[in-house]
Amino acid sequence: MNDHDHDPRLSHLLSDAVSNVEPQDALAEIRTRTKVTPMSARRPWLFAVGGAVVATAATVAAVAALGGNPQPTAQDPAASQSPTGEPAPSQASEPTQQPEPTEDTTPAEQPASASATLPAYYLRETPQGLRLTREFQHVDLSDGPVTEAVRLAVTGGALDPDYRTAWPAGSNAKSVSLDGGAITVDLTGAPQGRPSGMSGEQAELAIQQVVYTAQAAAAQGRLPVQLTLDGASTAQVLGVSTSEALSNAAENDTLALVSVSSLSEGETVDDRFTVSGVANSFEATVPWEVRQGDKVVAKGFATADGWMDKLYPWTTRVDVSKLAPGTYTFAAMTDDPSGGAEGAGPTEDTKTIVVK
Amino acid sequence: MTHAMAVPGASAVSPPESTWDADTALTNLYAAHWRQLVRLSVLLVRDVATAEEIVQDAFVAVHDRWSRLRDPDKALAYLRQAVVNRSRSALRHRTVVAKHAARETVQPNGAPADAPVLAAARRAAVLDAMRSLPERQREVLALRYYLDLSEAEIAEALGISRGAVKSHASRGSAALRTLLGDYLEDRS
Repeated sequence: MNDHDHDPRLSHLLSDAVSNVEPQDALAEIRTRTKVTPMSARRPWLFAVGGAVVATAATVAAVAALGGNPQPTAQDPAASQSPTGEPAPSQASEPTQQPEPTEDTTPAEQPASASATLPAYYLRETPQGLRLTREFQHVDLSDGPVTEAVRLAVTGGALDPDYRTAWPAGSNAKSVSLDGGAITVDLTGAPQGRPSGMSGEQAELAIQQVVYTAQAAAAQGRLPVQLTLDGASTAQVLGVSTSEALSNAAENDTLALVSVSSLSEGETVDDRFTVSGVANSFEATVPWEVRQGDKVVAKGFATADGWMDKLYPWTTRVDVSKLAPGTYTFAAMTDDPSGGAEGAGPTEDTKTIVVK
Repeated sequence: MTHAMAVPGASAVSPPESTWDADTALTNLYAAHWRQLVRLSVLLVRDVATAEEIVQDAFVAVHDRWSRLRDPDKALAYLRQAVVNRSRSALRHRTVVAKHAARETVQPNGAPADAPVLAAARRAAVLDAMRSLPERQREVLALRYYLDLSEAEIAEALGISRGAVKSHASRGSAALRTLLGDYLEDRS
Protein backbone atom coordinates (compact mmCIF):
# COMPACT_ATOMS: atom_id res chain seq x y z
CA MET A 1 0.00 0.00 0.00
CA ASN A 2 3.08 2.08 0.18
CA ASP A 3 2.33 5.25 -1.65
CA HIS A 4 -0.64 5.31 -3.92
CA ASP A 5 -3.15 5.31 -1.08
CA HIS A 6 -1.08 7.04 1.55
CA ASP A 7 -2.80 10.28 2.37
CA PRO A 8 -0.41 12.77 4.00
CA ARG A 9 -3.36 14.84 5.16
CA LEU A 10 -4.53 11.93 7.31
CA SER A 11 -1.03 11.51 8.72
CA HIS A 12 -1.06 15.13 9.71
CA LEU A 13 -4.54 15.00 11.23
CA LEU A 14 -3.80 11.90 13.31
CA SER A 15 -0.46 13.20 14.55
CA ASP A 16 -2.02 16.55 15.32
CA ALA A 17 -4.92 14.94 17.16
CA VAL A 18 -2.59 13.56 19.83
CA SER A 19 0.16 16.17 19.63
CA ASN A 20 -1.01 17.78 22.86
CA VAL A 21 -1.05 14.53 24.80
CA GLU A 22 1.80 14.67 27.28
CA PRO A 23 1.57 11.52 29.36
CA GLN A 24 2.64 11.72 32.96
CA ASP A 25 5.99 10.17 33.71
CA ALA A 26 5.39 6.59 34.74
CA LEU A 27 8.83 5.03 34.76
CA ALA A 28 8.99 4.96 38.53
CA GLU A 29 5.62 3.27 38.76
CA ILE A 30 6.52 0.74 36.07
CA ARG A 31 9.76 0.00 37.91
CA THR A 32 7.85 -0.55 41.13
CA ARG A 33 5.63 -3.01 39.34
CA THR A 34 8.50 -4.90 37.73
CA LYS A 35 10.58 -5.02 40.88
CA VAL A 36 9.88 -8.50 42.10
CA THR A 37 11.76 -9.54 45.16
CA PRO A 38 13.69 -12.68 44.43
CA MET A 39 12.71 -15.37 46.82
CA SER A 40 14.19 -18.76 47.28
CA ALA A 41 14.48 -21.51 49.77
CA ARG A 42 17.98 -20.28 50.46
CA ARG A 43 16.77 -16.89 51.63
CA PRO A 44 14.47 -16.51 54.55
CA TRP A 45 11.18 -15.36 53.16
CA LEU A 46 10.73 -12.87 55.94
CA PHE A 47 13.10 -10.48 54.23
CA ALA A 48 11.12 -10.67 51.07
CA VAL A 49 7.78 -9.60 52.40
CA GLY A 50 8.63 -5.92 52.51
CA GLY A 51 9.60 -5.95 48.89
CA ALA A 52 6.56 -7.69 47.60
CA VAL A 53 4.93 -5.95 44.74
CA VAL A 54 1.84 -3.97 45.48
CA ALA A 55 -0.06 -3.93 42.26
CA THR A 56 -1.92 -0.68 42.51
CA ALA A 57 -2.77 -0.46 38.86
CA ALA A 58 -4.16 -3.79 37.89
CA THR A 59 -4.26 -4.18 34.17
CA VAL A 60 -7.34 -2.93 32.46
CA ALA A 61 -7.83 -6.27 30.82
CA ALA A 62 -7.33 -8.24 33.98
CA VAL A 63 -9.70 -6.12 35.97
CA ALA A 64 -12.31 -6.38 33.32
CA ALA A 65 -11.90 -10.07 32.74
CA LEU A 66 -11.34 -11.16 36.27
CA GLY A 67 -12.94 -8.48 38.37
CA GLY A 68 -15.24 -8.86 41.30
CA ASN A 69 -18.25 -8.81 39.09
CA PRO A 70 -18.62 -11.32 36.32
CA GLN A 71 -17.48 -9.71 33.12
CA PRO A 72 -17.37 -10.50 29.44
CA THR A 73 -14.89 -13.31 29.45
CA ALA A 74 -16.86 -16.01 27.77
CA GLN A 75 -17.17 -14.38 24.41
CA ASP A 76 -13.95 -12.46 24.46
CA PRO A 77 -11.28 -13.83 22.14
CA ALA A 78 -8.56 -12.27 24.25
CA ALA A 79 -9.80 -14.05 27.32
CA SER A 80 -9.51 -17.37 25.58
CA GLN A 81 -5.82 -16.82 25.04
CA SER A 82 -4.94 -16.29 28.65
CA PRO A 83 -6.71 -14.79 31.59
CA THR A 84 -4.18 -12.00 31.87
CA GLY A 85 -4.68 -10.91 28.32
CA GLU A 86 -0.99 -11.05 27.53
CA PRO A 87 -0.31 -11.08 23.84
CA ALA A 88 2.02 -13.78 22.64
CA PRO A 89 4.60 -12.30 20.27
CA SER A 90 5.47 -15.68 18.84
CA GLN A 91 1.90 -16.20 17.73
CA ALA A 92 1.31 -13.11 15.71
CA SER A 93 -1.39 -14.76 13.67
CA GLU A 94 -3.40 -15.89 16.65
CA PRO A 95 -5.85 -12.99 16.85
CA THR A 96 -7.24 -13.79 13.42
CA GLN A 97 -7.87 -17.37 14.42
CA GLN A 98 -10.09 -16.33 17.24
CA PRO A 99 -13.75 -15.87 16.50
CA GLU A 100 -14.72 -12.25 16.22
CA PRO A 101 -18.02 -11.88 18.00
CA THR A 102 -20.42 -9.68 16.17
CA GLU A 103 -21.70 -6.89 18.31
CA ASP A 104 -25.37 -7.80 18.37
CA THR A 105 -25.06 -11.50 18.96
CA THR A 106 -25.70 -12.61 22.49
CA PRO A 107 -23.25 -15.18 23.79
CA ALA A 108 -25.92 -17.83 24.09
CA GLU A 109 -26.58 -17.66 20.39
CA GLN A 110 -23.00 -17.73 19.26
CA PRO A 111 -21.97 -20.42 16.82
CA ALA A 112 -20.65 -23.50 18.50
CA SER A 113 -17.48 -23.91 16.50
CA ALA A 114 -15.08 -22.33 18.96
CA SER A 115 -13.47 -22.64 22.32
CA ALA A 116 -13.69 -20.15 25.13
CA THR A 117 -12.58 -19.50 28.66
CA LEU A 118 -15.69 -19.84 30.78
CA PRO A 119 -16.39 -18.88 34.37
CA ALA A 120 -18.25 -21.37 36.53
CA TYR A 121 -19.06 -21.37 40.22
CA TYR A 122 -18.54 -24.38 42.46
CA LEU A 123 -18.95 -25.34 46.08
CA ARG A 124 -15.99 -25.42 48.43
CA GLU A 125 -15.26 -25.67 52.11
CA THR A 126 -14.19 -22.50 53.91
CA PRO A 127 -13.91 -21.46 57.55
CA GLN A 128 -17.33 -19.85 57.07
CA GLY A 129 -18.79 -23.15 55.91
CA LEU A 130 -19.72 -24.06 52.35
CA ARG A 131 -19.23 -21.21 49.93
CA LEU A 132 -19.14 -20.71 46.18
CA THR A 133 -15.98 -19.97 44.28
CA ARG A 134 -15.30 -19.17 40.68
CA GLU A 135 -13.04 -21.09 38.34
CA PHE A 136 -12.14 -20.22 34.77
CA GLN A 137 -11.76 -23.12 32.40
CA HIS A 138 -10.88 -23.19 28.74
CA VAL A 139 -13.27 -25.53 26.95
CA ASP A 140 -14.23 -26.43 23.41
CA LEU A 141 -17.74 -25.27 22.80
CA SER A 142 -20.30 -27.62 21.35
CA ASP A 143 -23.05 -25.26 22.46
CA GLY A 144 -23.35 -21.62 23.46
CA PRO A 145 -20.85 -20.45 26.09
CA VAL A 146 -23.46 -19.64 28.73
CA THR A 147 -25.02 -23.08 28.35
CA GLU A 148 -21.58 -24.72 28.53
CA ALA A 149 -20.64 -22.73 31.61
CA VAL A 150 -23.82 -23.69 33.48
CA ARG A 151 -23.30 -27.34 32.49
CA LEU A 152 -19.78 -27.21 33.92
CA ALA A 153 -21.11 -25.80 37.19
CA VAL A 154 -24.05 -28.20 37.54
CA THR A 155 -22.12 -31.34 36.59
CA GLY A 156 -19.09 -30.33 38.66
CA GLY A 157 -16.50 -30.12 35.90
CA ALA A 158 -14.02 -28.13 37.99
CA LEU A 159 -10.29 -28.61 37.45
CA ASP A 160 -9.52 -27.80 41.08
CA PRO A 161 -10.01 -30.93 43.20
CA ASP A 162 -11.20 -28.79 46.11
CA TYR A 163 -14.22 -27.63 44.11
CA ARG A 164 -17.40 -29.59 43.56
CA THR A 165 -20.99 -29.15 42.55
CA ALA A 166 -23.88 -28.96 44.98
CA TRP A 167 -26.20 -30.59 42.44
CA PRO A 168 -27.21 -34.25 42.71
CA ALA A 169 -25.74 -36.58 40.08
CA GLY A 170 -27.81 -36.69 36.90
CA SER A 171 -28.69 -33.01 36.99
CA ASN A 172 -27.71 -30.97 33.98
CA ALA A 173 -28.56 -27.87 31.98
CA LYS A 174 -30.31 -28.50 28.67
CA SER A 175 -30.04 -24.98 27.39
CA VAL A 176 -29.61 -21.40 28.49
CA SER A 177 -31.16 -18.51 26.65
CA LEU A 178 -30.99 -14.76 27.03
CA ASP A 179 -34.12 -12.86 26.31
CA GLY A 180 -35.57 -9.54 27.30
CA GLY A 181 -33.12 -8.80 30.08
CA ALA A 182 -33.39 -12.18 31.74
CA ILE A 183 -31.55 -15.46 31.52
CA THR A 184 -33.58 -18.67 31.29
CA VAL A 185 -31.81 -21.83 32.37
CA ASP A 186 -33.59 -25.01 31.39
CA LEU A 187 -32.56 -27.86 33.67
CA THR A 188 -33.04 -31.56 33.34
CA GLY A 189 -32.65 -34.49 35.71
CA ALA A 190 -32.92 -32.26 38.75
CA PRO A 191 -35.42 -33.13 41.47
CA GLN A 192 -38.14 -30.60 42.27
CA GLY A 193 -38.06 -31.37 45.96
CA ARG A 194 -35.00 -31.29 48.17
CA PRO A 195 -33.31 -34.68 48.13
CA SER A 196 -32.82 -36.39 51.47
CA GLY A 197 -29.34 -35.76 52.73
CA MET A 198 -29.16 -32.29 51.18
CA SER A 199 -29.39 -29.39 53.60
CA GLY A 200 -31.45 -26.33 52.84
CA GLU A 201 -28.20 -24.36 52.73
CA GLN A 202 -26.74 -26.72 50.13
CA ALA A 203 -29.90 -26.47 48.04
CA GLU A 204 -29.70 -22.68 48.10
CA LEU A 205 -26.04 -22.83 47.14
CA ALA A 206 -26.84 -25.18 44.26
CA ILE A 207 -29.34 -22.67 42.92
CA GLN A 208 -26.84 -19.85 43.42
CA GLN A 209 -24.20 -21.85 41.53
CA VAL A 210 -26.48 -21.62 38.51
CA VAL A 211 -27.43 -17.98 39.10
CA TYR A 212 -23.84 -16.77 39.54
CA THR A 213 -22.51 -18.87 36.67
CA ALA A 214 -25.20 -17.82 34.22
CA GLN A 215 -24.75 -14.16 35.12
CA ALA A 216 -20.98 -14.39 34.82
CA ALA A 217 -21.00 -16.23 31.52
CA ALA A 218 -23.67 -14.02 29.99
CA ALA A 219 -21.57 -11.02 31.03
CA GLN A 220 -24.43 -8.57 30.89
CA GLY A 221 -24.55 -7.60 34.52
CA ARG A 222 -26.70 -9.12 37.21
CA LEU A 223 -29.59 -10.30 35.07
CA PRO A 224 -32.42 -12.18 36.76
CA VAL A 225 -32.26 -15.93 36.20
CA GLN A 226 -35.40 -17.95 35.54
CA LEU A 227 -35.12 -21.70 36.11
CA THR A 228 -37.24 -24.16 34.16
CA LEU A 229 -37.29 -27.94 34.26
CA ASP A 230 -37.42 -29.83 30.96
CA GLY A 231 -38.80 -26.80 29.19
CA ALA A 232 -41.64 -26.10 31.61
CA SER A 233 -41.86 -23.64 34.46
CA THR A 234 -41.61 -25.25 37.85
CA ALA A 235 -42.60 -24.08 41.31
CA GLN A 236 -39.53 -25.62 42.91
CA VAL A 237 -36.11 -27.01 42.12
CA LEU A 238 -34.30 -28.83 44.94
CA GLY A 239 -37.05 -27.54 47.20
CA VAL A 240 -36.17 -23.91 46.46
CA SER A 241 -38.92 -21.74 45.07
CA THR A 242 -38.32 -21.02 41.39
CA SER A 243 -41.69 -19.65 40.33
CA GLU A 244 -40.13 -16.26 39.86
CA ALA A 245 -36.82 -15.23 38.35
CA LEU A 246 -33.98 -15.38 40.85
CA SER A 247 -31.33 -12.84 41.70
CA ASN A 248 -27.88 -13.49 43.04
CA ALA A 249 -27.49 -13.74 46.79
CA ALA A 250 -25.17 -11.28 48.54
CA GLU A 251 -21.51 -11.97 47.75
CA ASN A 252 -20.32 -11.84 51.33
CA ASP A 253 -22.80 -14.53 52.37
CA THR A 254 -22.31 -16.73 49.32
CA LEU A 255 -18.81 -16.55 47.92
CA ALA A 256 -15.58 -17.80 49.40
CA LEU A 257 -13.76 -14.68 50.55
CA VAL A 258 -10.73 -15.25 48.35
CA SER A 259 -10.21 -17.04 45.10
CA VAL A 260 -7.52 -17.28 42.44
CA SER A 261 -8.79 -16.61 38.95
CA SER A 262 -5.82 -16.62 36.65
CA LEU A 263 -4.16 -19.94 37.47
CA SER A 264 -5.49 -23.27 36.33
CA GLU A 265 -4.90 -26.29 38.51
CA GLY A 266 -1.58 -27.82 37.48
CA GLU A 267 -0.60 -24.92 35.25
CA THR A 268 3.02 -24.49 34.22
CA VAL A 269 4.08 -20.98 35.15
CA ASP A 270 6.75 -18.61 33.85
CA ASP A 271 9.67 -17.58 36.05
CA ARG A 272 7.73 -14.45 36.78
CA PHE A 273 4.01 -14.61 36.46
CA THR A 274 1.08 -12.39 37.18
CA VAL A 275 -1.67 -13.90 39.24
CA SER A 276 -5.04 -12.38 39.92
CA GLY A 277 -8.24 -13.19 41.68
CA VAL A 278 -10.92 -11.69 43.86
CA ALA A 279 -11.07 -11.29 47.62
CA ASN A 280 -12.70 -9.57 50.51
CA SER A 281 -9.88 -9.47 53.00
CA PHE A 282 -9.00 -7.28 55.95
CA GLU A 283 -7.68 -3.91 54.75
CA ALA A 284 -7.66 -5.26 51.19
CA THR A 285 -4.52 -7.27 51.96
CA VAL A 286 -4.35 -10.64 50.22
CA PRO A 287 -1.34 -12.63 51.45
CA TRP A 288 -0.03 -15.33 49.14
CA GLU A 289 2.44 -18.17 49.53
CA VAL A 290 4.19 -20.63 47.29
CA ARG A 291 4.56 -23.91 49.17
CA GLN A 292 6.49 -27.06 48.60
CA GLY A 293 4.77 -29.61 50.73
CA ASP A 294 4.28 -27.79 54.02
CA LYS A 295 7.27 -25.52 53.54
CA VAL A 296 6.70 -21.93 52.44
CA VAL A 297 9.30 -21.12 49.77
CA ALA A 298 8.02 -17.73 48.64
CA LYS A 299 5.61 -15.29 50.14
CA GLY A 300 4.16 -11.87 49.58
CA PHE A 301 0.89 -10.08 49.42
CA ALA A 302 -1.43 -8.48 46.90
CA THR A 303 -3.60 -5.48 47.51
CA ALA A 304 -7.17 -5.74 46.33
CA ASP A 305 -9.04 -2.79 44.92
CA GLY A 306 -11.19 -2.67 48.05
CA TRP A 307 -12.71 -4.71 50.85
CA MET A 308 -15.69 -5.02 53.21
CA ASP A 309 -18.88 -4.81 51.16
CA LYS A 310 -18.02 -7.36 48.48
CA LEU A 311 -15.17 -9.13 46.73
CA TYR A 312 -12.68 -6.96 44.88
CA PRO A 313 -10.13 -7.88 42.23
CA TRP A 314 -6.46 -8.24 43.14
CA THR A 315 -3.42 -8.78 40.96
CA THR A 316 0.15 -9.44 41.92
CA ARG A 317 3.38 -10.67 40.44
CA VAL A 318 5.17 -13.71 41.67
CA ASP A 319 8.82 -14.53 41.03
CA VAL A 320 9.65 -18.22 41.09
CA SER A 321 12.83 -17.93 39.03
CA LYS A 322 14.97 -19.03 41.96
CA LEU A 323 12.92 -22.12 42.69
CA ALA A 324 14.06 -25.51 41.50
CA PRO A 325 11.83 -27.04 38.82
CA GLY A 326 9.02 -29.02 40.33
CA THR A 327 5.48 -28.97 41.56
CA TYR A 328 4.42 -26.37 44.08
CA THR A 329 1.24 -25.02 45.59
CA PHE A 330 0.22 -21.41 45.19
CA ALA A 331 -2.11 -20.22 47.95
CA ALA A 332 -3.94 -16.92 48.19
CA MET A 333 -5.41 -16.11 51.58
CA THR A 334 -7.54 -13.67 53.42
CA ASP A 335 -5.63 -11.68 55.99
CA ASP A 336 -6.19 -12.63 59.59
CA PRO A 337 -4.83 -9.81 61.74
CA SER A 338 -5.64 -11.75 64.90
CA GLY A 339 -3.33 -14.56 63.86
CA GLY A 340 -6.12 -17.06 64.34
CA ALA A 341 -6.98 -15.84 67.82
CA GLU A 342 -10.37 -14.58 66.72
CA GLY A 343 -12.91 -15.69 64.23
CA ALA A 344 -12.73 -18.63 61.94
CA GLY A 345 -9.22 -18.06 60.62
CA PRO A 346 -8.16 -17.25 57.08
CA THR A 347 -9.83 -18.57 53.97
CA GLU A 348 -7.45 -19.76 51.31
CA ASP A 349 -7.61 -20.90 47.73
CA THR A 350 -4.84 -23.15 46.49
CA LYS A 351 -3.66 -24.08 43.01
CA THR A 352 -1.03 -26.59 42.04
CA ILE A 353 1.60 -24.96 39.84
CA VAL A 354 4.51 -26.41 37.92
CA VAL A 355 7.80 -24.51 37.80
CA LYS A 356 9.93 -25.43 34.82
CA MET B 1 12.45 -2.65 10.90
CA THR B 2 13.45 0.98 10.70
CA HIS B 3 12.71 1.91 14.29
CA ALA B 4 16.12 1.78 15.85
CA MET B 5 16.55 2.72 19.45
CA ALA B 6 16.88 6.42 19.76
CA VAL B 7 18.17 7.06 23.22
CA PRO B 8 20.11 10.30 23.32
CA GLY B 9 23.60 9.69 24.50
CA ALA B 10 22.91 6.10 25.38
CA SER B 11 25.05 4.50 22.73
CA ALA B 12 28.26 5.86 24.11
CA VAL B 13 27.79 4.65 27.66
CA SER B 14 25.51 1.66 27.40
CA PRO B 15 26.75 -1.83 26.78
CA PRO B 16 25.62 -3.46 23.52
CA GLU B 17 21.89 -3.96 23.33
CA SER B 18 22.18 -7.72 23.40
CA THR B 19 23.67 -7.54 26.86
CA TRP B 20 20.97 -5.30 28.31
CA ASP B 21 19.28 -6.78 31.31
CA ALA B 22 15.53 -6.41 31.65
CA ASP B 23 15.79 -3.24 33.73
CA THR B 24 18.14 -1.53 31.28
CA ALA B 25 15.95 -2.53 28.38
CA LEU B 26 12.92 -1.19 30.19
CA THR B 27 14.58 2.15 30.88
CA ASN B 28 15.77 2.58 27.30
CA LEU B 29 12.54 1.45 25.71
CA TYR B 30 10.62 3.74 28.01
CA ALA B 31 12.79 6.73 27.13
CA ALA B 32 12.39 6.11 23.44
CA HIS B 33 8.78 5.05 23.15
CA TRP B 34 6.65 5.90 26.18
CA ARG B 35 5.12 9.09 24.84
CA GLN B 36 4.56 7.78 21.34
CA LEU B 37 2.90 4.58 22.55
CA VAL B 38 0.59 6.51 24.88
CA ARG B 39 -0.38 8.70 21.96
CA LEU B 40 -0.96 5.62 19.84
CA SER B 41 -3.25 4.23 22.50
CA VAL B 42 -5.09 7.57 22.76
CA LEU B 43 -5.88 7.27 19.06
CA LEU B 44 -7.42 3.89 19.83
CA VAL B 45 -9.18 4.45 23.16
CA ARG B 46 -9.29 8.23 23.29
CA ASP B 47 -9.01 8.58 27.05
CA VAL B 48 -5.51 9.58 28.15
CA ALA B 49 -5.62 8.02 31.62
CA THR B 50 -6.77 4.71 30.15
CA ALA B 51 -4.03 4.91 27.53
CA GLU B 52 -1.40 5.52 30.20
CA GLU B 53 -2.58 2.48 32.12
CA ILE B 54 -2.53 0.33 28.99
CA VAL B 55 0.97 1.36 28.00
CA GLN B 56 2.26 0.93 31.55
CA ASP B 57 0.94 -2.60 31.50
CA ALA B 58 2.63 -3.19 28.16
CA PHE B 59 5.97 -2.03 29.58
CA VAL B 60 5.57 -4.30 32.60
CA ALA B 61 4.86 -7.18 30.21
CA VAL B 62 7.86 -6.44 28.00
CA HIS B 63 10.09 -6.36 31.08
CA ASP B 64 8.82 -9.84 31.94
CA ARG B 65 9.63 -11.12 28.51
CA TRP B 66 12.97 -9.46 27.96
CA SER B 67 14.82 -12.73 28.51
CA ARG B 68 12.98 -14.11 25.49
CA LEU B 69 12.97 -10.97 23.36
CA ARG B 70 16.56 -9.84 23.88
CA ASP B 71 16.32 -7.40 21.02
CA PRO B 72 15.05 -3.82 21.02
CA ASP B 73 13.31 -4.18 17.67
CA LYS B 74 11.50 -7.30 18.78
CA ALA B 75 10.68 -5.62 22.06
CA LEU B 76 9.25 -2.60 20.27
CA ALA B 77 7.17 -4.85 18.02
CA TYR B 78 5.95 -6.63 21.13
CA LEU B 79 5.12 -3.33 22.83
CA ARG B 80 3.10 -2.14 19.86
CA GLN B 81 1.22 -5.39 19.69
CA ALA B 82 0.56 -5.31 23.42
CA VAL B 83 -0.69 -1.72 23.26
CA VAL B 84 -3.05 -2.48 20.37
CA ASN B 85 -4.37 -5.66 21.98
CA ARG B 86 -4.84 -4.07 25.37
CA SER B 87 -6.49 -1.01 23.88
CA ARG B 88 -8.89 -3.32 22.11
CA SER B 89 -9.65 -5.20 25.32
CA ALA B 90 -10.15 -1.98 27.21
CA LEU B 91 -12.70 -0.79 24.67
CA ARG B 92 -14.55 -4.07 24.78
CA HIS B 93 -14.59 -4.40 28.51
CA ARG B 94 -15.40 -0.98 29.71
CA THR B 95 -16.92 2.15 28.44
CA VAL B 96 -14.02 4.48 28.28
CA VAL B 97 -15.14 7.76 29.71
CA ALA B 98 -13.89 10.80 27.89
CA LYS B 99 -11.82 12.37 30.60
CA HIS B 100 -9.38 13.69 28.08
CA ALA B 101 -10.51 17.29 28.42
CA ALA B 102 -8.91 17.57 31.84
CA ARG B 103 -5.51 16.90 30.35
CA GLU B 104 -5.61 19.40 27.47
CA THR B 105 -2.45 21.42 27.53
CA VAL B 106 -2.51 25.15 28.01
CA GLN B 107 -2.49 27.06 24.77
CA PRO B 108 0.54 29.21 24.11
CA ASN B 109 0.18 32.97 24.25
CA GLY B 110 0.05 34.95 21.06
CA ALA B 111 -2.21 32.64 19.08
CA PRO B 112 -5.33 34.14 17.55
CA ALA B 113 -8.17 34.06 20.01
CA ASP B 114 -10.13 31.40 18.22
CA ALA B 115 -7.19 29.26 17.07
CA PRO B 116 -7.01 27.13 20.23
CA VAL B 117 -10.71 26.48 20.04
CA LEU B 118 -10.44 25.41 16.43
CA ALA B 119 -7.47 23.19 17.17
CA ALA B 120 -9.25 21.57 20.09
CA ALA B 121 -12.37 21.04 17.99
CA ARG B 122 -10.30 19.51 15.19
CA ARG B 123 -8.51 17.15 17.56
CA ALA B 124 -11.77 16.09 19.13
CA ALA B 125 -13.30 15.51 15.71
CA VAL B 126 -10.39 13.32 14.64
CA LEU B 127 -10.53 11.24 17.83
CA ASP B 128 -14.31 10.94 17.52
CA ALA B 129 -13.98 9.85 13.92
CA MET B 130 -11.41 7.22 14.87
CA ARG B 131 -13.69 5.89 17.60
CA SER B 132 -16.54 5.60 15.12
CA LEU B 133 -14.57 3.30 12.81
CA PRO B 134 -14.66 -0.49 13.06
CA GLU B 135 -11.92 -1.79 15.36
CA ARG B 136 -9.59 -3.14 12.69
CA GLN B 137 -9.81 -0.08 10.49
CA ARG B 138 -9.02 2.13 13.46
CA GLU B 139 -6.01 0.00 14.37
CA VAL B 140 -4.68 -0.13 10.84
CA LEU B 141 -5.04 3.62 10.39
CA ALA B 142 -3.33 4.41 13.70
CA LEU B 143 -0.38 2.16 12.90
CA ARG B 144 -0.15 3.40 9.36
CA TYR B 145 -0.74 7.12 9.64
CA TYR B 146 0.52 7.76 13.14
CA LEU B 147 3.39 5.28 13.51
CA ASP B 148 4.10 5.20 9.80
CA LEU B 149 4.47 1.44 9.80
CA SER B 150 4.75 -0.54 6.58
CA GLU B 151 2.03 -2.87 5.44
CA ALA B 152 4.13 -5.85 6.52
CA GLU B 153 4.75 -4.39 9.97
CA ILE B 154 1.06 -3.69 10.45
CA ALA B 155 0.18 -7.20 9.31
CA GLU B 156 2.58 -8.60 11.88
CA ALA B 157 1.43 -6.33 14.69
CA LEU B 158 -2.23 -7.16 14.16
CA GLY B 159 -1.79 -10.78 13.16
CA ILE B 160 -3.70 -10.32 9.94
CA SER B 161 -2.75 -10.75 6.28
CA ARG B 162 -1.25 -7.96 4.19
CA GLY B 163 -4.32 -8.14 2.00
CA ALA B 164 -6.50 -7.49 5.02
CA VAL B 165 -4.29 -4.57 6.04
CA LYS B 166 -4.69 -3.12 2.57
CA SER B 167 -8.46 -3.42 2.58
CA HIS B 168 -8.90 -2.07 6.13
CA ALA B 169 -6.58 0.83 5.27
CA SER B 170 -8.45 1.65 2.12
CA ARG B 171 -11.90 1.52 3.70
CA GLY B 172 -10.76 3.27 6.85
CA SER B 173 -9.05 6.07 4.93
CA ALA B 174 -12.14 6.62 2.84
CA ALA B 175 -14.36 6.71 5.92
CA LEU B 176 -12.02 9.10 7.70
CA ARG B 177 -11.86 11.42 4.69
CA THR B 178 -15.65 11.51 4.62
CA LEU B 179 -15.97 12.11 8.36
CA LEU B 180 -13.24 14.74 8.46
CA GLY B 181 -13.93 16.41 5.13
CA ASP B 182 -14.28 19.84 6.69
CA TYR B 183 -10.93 19.70 8.35
CA LEU B 184 -9.18 18.28 5.31
CA GLU B 185 -10.35 21.12 3.10
CA ASP B 186 -10.05 23.93 5.59
CA ARG B 187 -6.55 23.17 6.65
CA SER B 188 -4.09 25.51 5.00
